[in-house]
Amino acid sequence: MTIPALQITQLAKRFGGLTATRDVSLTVMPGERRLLIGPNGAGKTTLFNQIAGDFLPDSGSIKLFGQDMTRLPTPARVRMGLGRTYQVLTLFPRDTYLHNVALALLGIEGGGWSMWGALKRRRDMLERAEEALISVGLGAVVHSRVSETSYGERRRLELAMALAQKPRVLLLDEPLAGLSAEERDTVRDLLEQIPRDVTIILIEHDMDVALAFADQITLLNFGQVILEGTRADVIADPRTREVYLGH
Amino acid sequence: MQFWIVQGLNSLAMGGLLFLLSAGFSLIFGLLRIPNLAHGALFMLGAYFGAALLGEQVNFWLAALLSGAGVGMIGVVLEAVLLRRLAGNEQGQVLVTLGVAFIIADICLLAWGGDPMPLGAPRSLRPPVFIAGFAFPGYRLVVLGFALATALLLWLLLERTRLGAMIRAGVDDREMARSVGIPVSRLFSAVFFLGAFLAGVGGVIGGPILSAYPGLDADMLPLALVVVILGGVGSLPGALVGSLIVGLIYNFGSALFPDFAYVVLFLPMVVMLVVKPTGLFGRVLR
Amino acid sequence: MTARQVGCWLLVIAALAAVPFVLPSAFYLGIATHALIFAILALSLNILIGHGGMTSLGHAVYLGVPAYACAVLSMQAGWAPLPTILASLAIGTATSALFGILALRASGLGFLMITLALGQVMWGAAYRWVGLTGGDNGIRLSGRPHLFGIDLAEVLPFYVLVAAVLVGALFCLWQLDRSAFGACLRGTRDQPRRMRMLGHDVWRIRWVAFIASGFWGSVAGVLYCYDYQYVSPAALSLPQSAETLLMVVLGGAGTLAGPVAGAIIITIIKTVVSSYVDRWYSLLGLTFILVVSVMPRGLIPGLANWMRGKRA
Repeated sequence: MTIPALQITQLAKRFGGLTATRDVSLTVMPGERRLLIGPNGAGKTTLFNQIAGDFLPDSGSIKLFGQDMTRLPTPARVRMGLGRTYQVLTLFPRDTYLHNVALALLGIEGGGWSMWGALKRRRDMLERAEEALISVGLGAVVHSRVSETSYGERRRLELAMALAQKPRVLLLDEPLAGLSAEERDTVRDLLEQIPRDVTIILIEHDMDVALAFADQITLLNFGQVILEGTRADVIADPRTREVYLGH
Repeated sequence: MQFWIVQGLNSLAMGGLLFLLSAGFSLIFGLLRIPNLAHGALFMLGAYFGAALLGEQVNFWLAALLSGAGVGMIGVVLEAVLLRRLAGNEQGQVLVTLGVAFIIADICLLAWGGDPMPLGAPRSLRPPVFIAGFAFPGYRLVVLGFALATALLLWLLLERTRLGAMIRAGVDDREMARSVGIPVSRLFSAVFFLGAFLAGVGGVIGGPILSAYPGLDADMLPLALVVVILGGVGSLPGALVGSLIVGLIYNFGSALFPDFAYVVLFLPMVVMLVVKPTGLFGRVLR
Repeated sequence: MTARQVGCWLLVIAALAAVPFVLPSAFYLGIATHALIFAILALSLNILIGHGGMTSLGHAVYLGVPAYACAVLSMQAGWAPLPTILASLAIGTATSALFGILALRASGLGFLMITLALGQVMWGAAYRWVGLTGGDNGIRLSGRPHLFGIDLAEVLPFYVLVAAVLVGALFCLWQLDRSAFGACLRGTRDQPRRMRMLGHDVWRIRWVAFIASGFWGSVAGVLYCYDYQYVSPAALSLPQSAETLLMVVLGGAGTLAGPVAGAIIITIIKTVVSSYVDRWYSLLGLTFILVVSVMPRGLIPGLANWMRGKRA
């Protein structure tokens, strides 16, 4: 039997009187493209935050390829092969694109403790950082500061930083948010080029792109899983309509 | 036995004084997100104002009220003239309050010199009070009573009035408070007045115990920090409980091991930081 | 190093070497020595503020604790200079490792308050623990040591030593600035959450920075002890922490030249003013308010901006 890439069991989290996550169980198989949908405030990003380890759950467990990581700090999860992008751009705006990706490589490969010798001399690492940028079509802005570039380019940098780390499981939080139609096509192509040895869990409101991309869909509302199944099943299910259109 | 009872009362009186000092500090921090490093200096200024007024034969309680009002006005000016323009620049605001603290301390030194100025307690409160055969220093009982009454009044203000509701909303979530139409900048002025007023009154009330001297500010400010770290930022019950704990440790520490009293004082803060960094009653501030 | 960088370093060394020839007397060279020691202290604080984005108001701890250690070990324990210096550096650095654990329980304003409170603990200890520290009277040294056959009692050799240490500190911090660690530290300042998600141990990066800052502060502390040949609670006081912070903010946090410039300016103002009037604290306070209101980014970045504007 194949070990799931990500297995969440009975995950629950309350903040005071507010239930953020209610007994969420989710199993994503290796290579799968899983789409999380649900209205605003359904708990999609909150679930990502918990998988990433921003806060610990009250109960339940999270396993990555069979290894329990429920109580591990975020960096340990990253070293186990978890990657993530943010819906709100979370970049280093004063630095260059190359520097941003270099920080991603330092994080996964270690070597961030060296206090002697310029980072600029780490040719080998910087070359790989540049390749990662070229692979998402950012070859032209490698040495530009983030603050001097367009929003569309920054969106792709979000992706490049995560991809450079060669994650086994990648959480993508609205990678198309705020992009023009043309830029959407570019990013869609990039997403489709990601090899199948990367398992992807996606939050995306652009249904044209998201539905075409996903193998399986999970519908969340009020912090719990309402429905799970193939694309056709979820679209056809009356509960989907109910969640989106109200009762 | 007499020792423990008297020291116990002294501790509670000291705790009461610390409450007057740190309640305002905590509210200002909670609402404005400014650790007002001038708070110790405002306390000292209150003590000097009180000493000056008592020198003019003003009634003790009137002197406390006038000093508090004067210090409160200085607080309002400080907030309106210097701090408001720096909204959002937290580091800048901290540095400015520190700068003001130095200036106030220097002005006090210039105006009143380097010798400690004693503040006499009201004559009627000086003789000891006898309860169950034990002699209690009368004035300390009054200080404790005054602090507890202030705590009650503050609690009523925060929980039972419109102003209090607005302050609580602001402490919980500033942006939300602004968006529901609470006049945040007037609220800031009010809270700064209240905090500085309490510090000023505290300086006078504490005068007969501590007297007014150069360096009083630097002695008091860290105590306020410890109280707030112990009790939790922006919490009135936290300030009260924290003050009483610090008062106890301060007094028994000074009496039992004078060399290390000041260091012992910070131990509960260290323990609290390790166990629960948000403090006893603290929340994570947004 | 590029030719330009080599040029910069030669210029710095030449400027430091010229100082003894330019200044009219040993008195002024003594003041220059004070300034350079505070430049090292300000540079050490800049690791936290400029690169780490952590505003500490207790940095006097890393001036005062090693200075006291140095005085106590040489005067009361009678240790030789070299072991005294090494032990003092170790004690100062160990203190920063311990205090870093406590202060980093919080971030932002909480961090600031905790560092301030910890600073006051050490000040209080120095003030009250009379048996060890001499209380308010402090400890007076019997003189400066001979080190490696050089008598440091004279003003000039001591200046040369301090200048050499400053150049060493500048070089190490320049390396740190450009290194992978420097990049990671600035990353934790700008986007701590992202850094965590990239696999960096943000807490440990900050802690290591805190210790590095404590180490370089201790270097300044030992030099301070030998420079003044006297240590009192003033070395651990809040005004001392505040002055150090002002040096960094005035000169420009995050730059190498800024803290040095800030330290020199503040030392000059302090020396000049205290020889005319006794109102140093008012002036310190006013400088704080002025710097924050007029030049929030500091002198060096401000100048750089202005020059770029002129060229464009």
